[in-house]
Amino acid sequence: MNIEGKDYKVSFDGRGTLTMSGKLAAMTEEYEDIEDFFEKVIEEVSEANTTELILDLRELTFLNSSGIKTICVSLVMEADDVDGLCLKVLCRNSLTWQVETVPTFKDLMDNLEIVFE
Amino acid sequence: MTNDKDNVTEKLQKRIRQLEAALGIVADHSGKTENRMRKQFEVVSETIPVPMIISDENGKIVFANLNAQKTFGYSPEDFTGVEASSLYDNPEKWKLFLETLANREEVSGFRVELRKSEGPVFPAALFSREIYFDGQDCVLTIVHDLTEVMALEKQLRQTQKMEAVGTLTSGIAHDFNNILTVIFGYAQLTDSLLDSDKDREKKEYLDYVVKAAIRAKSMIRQMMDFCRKTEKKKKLFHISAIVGEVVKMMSDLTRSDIDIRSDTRDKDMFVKGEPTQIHQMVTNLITNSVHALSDKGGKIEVILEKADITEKQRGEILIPKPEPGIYARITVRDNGPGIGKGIIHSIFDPFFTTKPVGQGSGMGLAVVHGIIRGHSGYVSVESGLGEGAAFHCYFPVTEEDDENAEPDAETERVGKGDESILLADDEPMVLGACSKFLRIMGYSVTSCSESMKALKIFKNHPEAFDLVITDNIMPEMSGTELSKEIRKIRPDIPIILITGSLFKRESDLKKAGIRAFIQKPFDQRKMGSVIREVLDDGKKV
Ligand SMILES: Nc1ncnc2c1ncn2[C@@H]1O[C@H](COP(=O)(O)OP(=O)(O)O)[C@@H](O)[C@H]1O
Ligand SMILES: [Mg+2]
Repeated sequence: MNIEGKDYKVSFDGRGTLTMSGKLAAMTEEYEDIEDFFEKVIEEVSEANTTELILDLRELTFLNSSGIKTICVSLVMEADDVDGLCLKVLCRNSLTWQVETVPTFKDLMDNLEIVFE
Repeated sequence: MTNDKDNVTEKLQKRIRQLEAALGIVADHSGKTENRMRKQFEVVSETIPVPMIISDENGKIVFANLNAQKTFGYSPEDFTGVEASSLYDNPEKWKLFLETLANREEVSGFRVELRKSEGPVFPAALFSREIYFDGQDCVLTIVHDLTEVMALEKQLRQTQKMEAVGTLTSGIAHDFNNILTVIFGYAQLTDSLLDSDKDREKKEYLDYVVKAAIRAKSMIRQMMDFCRKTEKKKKLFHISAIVGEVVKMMSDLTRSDIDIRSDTRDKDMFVKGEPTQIHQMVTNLITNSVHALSDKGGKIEVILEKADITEKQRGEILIPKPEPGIYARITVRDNGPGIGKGIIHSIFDPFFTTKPVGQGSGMGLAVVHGIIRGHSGYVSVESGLGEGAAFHCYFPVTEEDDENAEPDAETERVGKGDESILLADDEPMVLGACSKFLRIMGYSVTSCSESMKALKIFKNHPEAFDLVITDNIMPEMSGTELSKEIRKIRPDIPIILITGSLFKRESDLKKAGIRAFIQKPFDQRKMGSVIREVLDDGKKV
């Protein structure tokens, strides 16, 4: 299951890994599709009683603030509501935006693990 | 029940806290992203080698890159908040620019005159687009400064004009000289048929004819000088000697309420070229200044100094664009009425003059320009209405021992002597100037403004003189007649005739015992060397 835009791709492998890659600089309206996509992912993992959801951002080089809002509200905060689910975010040290922004996700979810490489 | 309610409340409160946190994260992220983009933008804008300006909807400048600050002369702080319209020489043009931008969404190559903070105006082409910047609709403008391009264009036009005049002149100058010779010839013939008492008035009118013809002749001479390709072999000479000579000559010839001063700040500079041409050039410049001061009197300064052309001066120099380096700079500056913006770009054009017919040929500065170019030099003018005028002439300086060239020995040798001279000229101004020249050269001079009187003096002391110099056109007795009379008294005495033209055949001159002639207008150098030639020639025989 995936969504593809001009410069980006969001995909879910159906088990526990959600991958975002490319450059995401869409406007708020365009993020509605991605929000729906995240909703479906959360539904799937909670139905399957998955204990770990991996969010792989290592190939996502750029994300604008609307994108951050979508991840915070539609993914992290929703994942926090699923009992017993841990969210593991894979990041890259070389991408400044990730170094600056991803650690703040911890404010939204206790059961969150961030891995930088 | 209560438990459930508490649960929901708790969940809602948590949601609210989370949303608040999320808002913080988003705001923080967007701030950082924007900062980064802003930084990238700044790197780009500081790197591009052209002025770039962003103005907001109200026409206030919100951003100007380093190059724009330099070009317009504003500090970064002063720049923000400046009205874009104030950068336009003509604010109407700014409105037109906005209209064009609104109609086409982009503007490309919009030609305008822009104004720097200190006032100077320069030509430019604008390239613009609407952009979203710092949270508002703005206009991004790139400025292409056309100053240099236009200077090159102008230089090309100037060269073409000069060439056209050159071709024209060499063709007609020859014919003109022939026509003038006829005028001189018949004027002289008519003059000899007139009686000096009865026809006094007629003689006077004839004199006007001759004087006008002399002026025409000197104009043609100037045009020929201007066209003559410098095929003459160039030599090294001491530029300060020439400048000093011209200043001396001009101040002798100029009314006393015009003060001509020379200031030689660097004496030992050698320039390669033709000294007579430099002489001519300085003469032309001083003549213009004298004319500019003729209403009220004033001050003329002639400064000679070593100067390097720096970047700053490169900007103000008109023709052509110079190479940086060390130059001998001759500045002729006056405190006259100055030259207005409207004509300053035309003054070097051949035949451009603001003077009434008969007073200006419009060739003076064209000749100056031609001479300077022939010496691989540069000329600039610094003037404005009411600000006086300064002409700066730059000549490449040559090292003395360059190419083993001898500094011009002639300059030193020319015209020194201690002989005794009888000088006759009816024009007191010319007489005064000539006798001053001669005394400066070391001669002892007896000067006389009437030919009859001159003859009387000679009759009384024939052995007291080594040489006679006489003007030709004089009332009572012409120079040729005077010569004949003098030769009757002392056949061996050398005589030099000053003439406005060459209407005499050389055999006629010989018959009258005239050894040489000096053609008007002449300069001190010319006079000095002719005198030496005549005197030294006499000694050899
Ligand atoms: N020192 C000066 N002050 C004011 N105007 C000047 C000066 N020198 C030159 N000009 C202006 O430049 C014009 C051209 O000068 P020039 O080529 O020497 O021709 P001309 O002297 O015969 O008019 C002059 O007519 C005058 O308007
Ligand atoms: Mg002149």
